[in-house]
Amino acid sequence: MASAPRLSVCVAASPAGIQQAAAALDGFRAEHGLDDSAAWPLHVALDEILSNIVRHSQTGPEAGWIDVTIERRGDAVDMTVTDDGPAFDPLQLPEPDVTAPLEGRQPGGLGVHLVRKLMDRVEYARAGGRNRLTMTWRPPA
Amino acid sequence: MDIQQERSDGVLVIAPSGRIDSTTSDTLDQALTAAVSSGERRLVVDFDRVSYISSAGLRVLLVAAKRLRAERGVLVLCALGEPVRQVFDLAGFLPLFTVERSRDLALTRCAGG
Repeated sequence: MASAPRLSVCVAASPAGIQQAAAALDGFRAEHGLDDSAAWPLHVALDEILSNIVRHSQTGPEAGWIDVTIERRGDAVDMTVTDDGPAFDPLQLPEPDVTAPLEGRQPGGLGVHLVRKLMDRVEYARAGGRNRLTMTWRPPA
Repeated sequence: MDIQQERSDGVLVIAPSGRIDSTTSDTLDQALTAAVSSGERRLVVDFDRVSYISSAGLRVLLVAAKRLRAERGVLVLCALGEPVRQVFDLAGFLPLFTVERSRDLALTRCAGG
């Protein structure tokens, strides 16, 4: 039987929800024969984006929900993360200074920087009152 | 995440395992904070059993490094696998830390410096 090319999960905007999404990605990778040793950038990117959303959503009265869709397209994997929080484009965040000495480093801003570097393509859209971030990863040649 | 700790000639080795991400980094943070708070000044973090690290883990290491430096302590990292090394590199973290290939080399470096 051919493996399902697409997997969607809806998780709470919480640490438990992040773990559920990571487990879903584990299942998807296993089904598609994508080893952790090669496909780890998908996990790092998912953790960065989801933890950003959780951090921002905790200011609201209740935790929202996050939709995660993982899709295989040829060799590539697309991950789409959609949340109903306030409009927020993480790609507009300033790039962190990754050359500063230890004393000048601020613990923050590195997550989106890593996503940009580890993914082959990252796009943000605000549609239907929701934030949608689409990431594409291609395995190293 | 489980964390093994081992003492060797006045150096405390902290060896986390699995993924260091936003849902597990608190465990590493607690281990490092407890070590420094209890007076440990020579620390090795062994990444041999770590599959990858995200920025949440980098943040924990940054805080520990700053705190140890303020206390005139020594922090040496070792046995970084390719995913961990790559994330360190992308974040510009490699020049900030003393990194050794193996735990033995890290212990030598830590004891000597």
